[in-house]
Amino acid sequence: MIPADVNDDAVRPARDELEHFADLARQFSRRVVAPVFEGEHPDGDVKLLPGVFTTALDTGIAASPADGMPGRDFGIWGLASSQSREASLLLLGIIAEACGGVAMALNLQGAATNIILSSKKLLPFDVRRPLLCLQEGPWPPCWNALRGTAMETYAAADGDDFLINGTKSFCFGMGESDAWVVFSRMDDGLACFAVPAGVRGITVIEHGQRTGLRACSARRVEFHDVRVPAHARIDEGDAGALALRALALAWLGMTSIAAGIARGALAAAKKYAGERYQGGAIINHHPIMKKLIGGSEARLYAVEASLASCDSHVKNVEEEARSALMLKQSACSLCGIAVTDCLQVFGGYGYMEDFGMEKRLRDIMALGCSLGSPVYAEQFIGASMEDR
Amino acid sequence: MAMISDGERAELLKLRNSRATLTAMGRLLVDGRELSLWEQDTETLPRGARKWRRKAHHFARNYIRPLAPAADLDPHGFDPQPLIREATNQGFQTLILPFPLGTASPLTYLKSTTIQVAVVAEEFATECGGLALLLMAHNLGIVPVLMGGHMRSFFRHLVPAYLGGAWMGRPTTMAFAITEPGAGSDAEYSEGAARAKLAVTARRTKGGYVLNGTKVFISDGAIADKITVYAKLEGEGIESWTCFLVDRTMKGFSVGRRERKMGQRAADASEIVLDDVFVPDKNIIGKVRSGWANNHNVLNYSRPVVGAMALGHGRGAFERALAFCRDTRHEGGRLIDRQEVQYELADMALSLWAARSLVWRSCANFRASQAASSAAKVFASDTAFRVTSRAIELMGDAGCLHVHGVERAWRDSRLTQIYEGTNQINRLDIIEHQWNADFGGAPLR
Repeated sequence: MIPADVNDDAVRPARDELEHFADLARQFSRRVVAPVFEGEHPDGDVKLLPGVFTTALDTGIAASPADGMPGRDFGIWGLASSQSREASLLLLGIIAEACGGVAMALNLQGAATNIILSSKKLLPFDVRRPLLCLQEGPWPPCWNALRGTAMETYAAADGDDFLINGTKSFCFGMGESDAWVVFSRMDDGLACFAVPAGVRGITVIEHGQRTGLRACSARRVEFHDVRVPAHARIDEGDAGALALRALALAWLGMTSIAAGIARGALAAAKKYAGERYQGGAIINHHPIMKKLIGGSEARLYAVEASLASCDSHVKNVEEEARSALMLKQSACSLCGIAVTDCLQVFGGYGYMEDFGMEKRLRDIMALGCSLGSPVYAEQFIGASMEDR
Repeated sequence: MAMISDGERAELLKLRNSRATLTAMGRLLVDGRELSLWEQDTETLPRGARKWRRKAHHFARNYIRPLAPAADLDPHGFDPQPLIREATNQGFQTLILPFPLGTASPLTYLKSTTIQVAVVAEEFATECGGLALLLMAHNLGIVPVLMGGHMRSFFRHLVPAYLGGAWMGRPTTMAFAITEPGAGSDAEYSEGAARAKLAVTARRTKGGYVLNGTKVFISDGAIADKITVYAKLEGEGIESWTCFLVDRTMKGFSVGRRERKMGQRAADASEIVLDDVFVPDKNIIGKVRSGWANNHNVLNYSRPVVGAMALGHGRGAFERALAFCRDTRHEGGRLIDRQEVQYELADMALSLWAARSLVWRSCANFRASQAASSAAKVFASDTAFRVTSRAIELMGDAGCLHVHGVERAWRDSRLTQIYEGTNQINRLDIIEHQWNADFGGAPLR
């Protein structure tokens, strides 16, 4: 069992540092993300999305394992997140207020980057935009599968190289990637490899239109006798812990994204309720509207409060994964109710694309199902408790 | 005795097998029919509704299912007319009227005016919420004429439409227009309506009225041939609301913005603009100033149907999720064989069953009850949204893919919590209706 790198003694960023991150995220949202949604593009103009991610890499918001990239240390889930999760969560939450899909893409890019960086391995090729390949079916691997026995993708030694075969699905990330971080079964355990995107034997298929988080690409990646050099192996014999770390970061990030989406919805609903006139009064004077908005405030408060405490009590990576999944599940549930209630404040207008509320609802729904829906989460958490 | 495995023993213990150990009397009391729940439910319906449910099931599978994915993805490129023609030919578009005006079975209609439409709505919506709304919104346009109660209106407006559709292959599509940009919920609840700021007005002129204003979110507004439009008389309030039948060929009528919606995308929701539209006296539906009561009661008849549509969204999602769980293997086994998956599926099925019971109960009278109609609409739509959500969750990331049709049902179901009065307004309607009566058995003191 490897220790989590965050605990009570973690060095927390100073308040002015956090303010700087928050300001950076706000500017990114306003100047880079918001223009993508202008005109009739409820999910963003797909042609402009590559530019968004390039800017995220160039400004250091997106993490990247490549030397010299500004996000290597301070990007979302970059090296500095080993000290504290706070800055990454802050960035993700603010960006999610503008677009959950962009935040999700940055989150998963960060998780893949973090695995490579934390392994401290010198890879035989440059990786700038890695993409995580962990999931094989509709859900991520279950608790026991993280020990490798149930995974269908497998790697076998072949001379000095490894050959990888199998199919990964729902590989999320920022559009084009230059490497895949692939988890596979090997012998009786789990291994993790960095696979250059251009090598022979890889087939990439887009999953097609999805409910929400459409700014974040989702792909199926097939590996047919893909040959990778021995140095491309990332793990030191315990890839299960790496997988847990990736999942833990992704789930924590998704918790913050859920809160961000709900915060955006709530701000919009409060603004609308202060302007819309029905039944002889501005609608925020109606008790039913107070119930919808007040209930949403309370749910969001609970999520933000639990998120604020997530740095302080984690002792090891298994515990962090478990608590991150519990946070993600309850956050998506509570924020999902908040978003649908905020949409209801708008009445029929909330259902139309123009007001942005239906996109938020689609995004939060997709977020709740990604990387483990509640059905999966309950089993994962339950199984993880058996070992305690 | 031969050794048997635990699995074989469990199979033997299931009631369908172990009932063989009972006496003849005991076996008689075991429900051993090999019927689907759908068929068992169908058998509880009155004869006319049974017939239409089976017919609608077949129609939905063969005519709606193939169109649904493309119509959802590209609603503006989809031509609805062939589907409307086929539905008209098969009698679905006149089902709100009994013979000889329509195709509803008369005996069933006398017991329940809406059950035949409700069962059809569920079947259509199971395949596609947008196409179901496209076909069902037409009924909403007809009901105000029925409520108006003038035989001359029946013969002037409904009979030609029926004959044109049934015998000449030229269906007439109707729509219903109450919502205005500044009055959504206000048009659906008495307390709100009393303070509503309505803008569509009718000015008296020689031989009729001149209508001005804009209606929004009108289902089938862009394709309807005739629309029942509610307008207040000039200088008066909502108590003067009057229903007018507006023909799309009338001068000054135009279709404005076509909305882009989250779901039910195959059915258009359009703005209709009335710019000095002259409507002759013969097109007044019911009495002048009877519009509010007419509208309110139309909603009482339509809300159970909305509940049935919601039920269809939930059932469609459930059926597709069930098929997915049967076909999908995860970590060495089928999803359907996992206990937690069976638990979820059972919960979804029982929720839908309960909602169907309430919807059918709300249709069980000749006259629609405001409280029962609202209750059915609220319960079924909330249930549908919850069930479709859980169906997606059950399928994990795959549930969010358009190709499976489950997320479409989820998007479709969300609208049923909003239109025909938001579920918040409908809850108030339940209280409004029962305010002076007890909810329990004893009278109020």
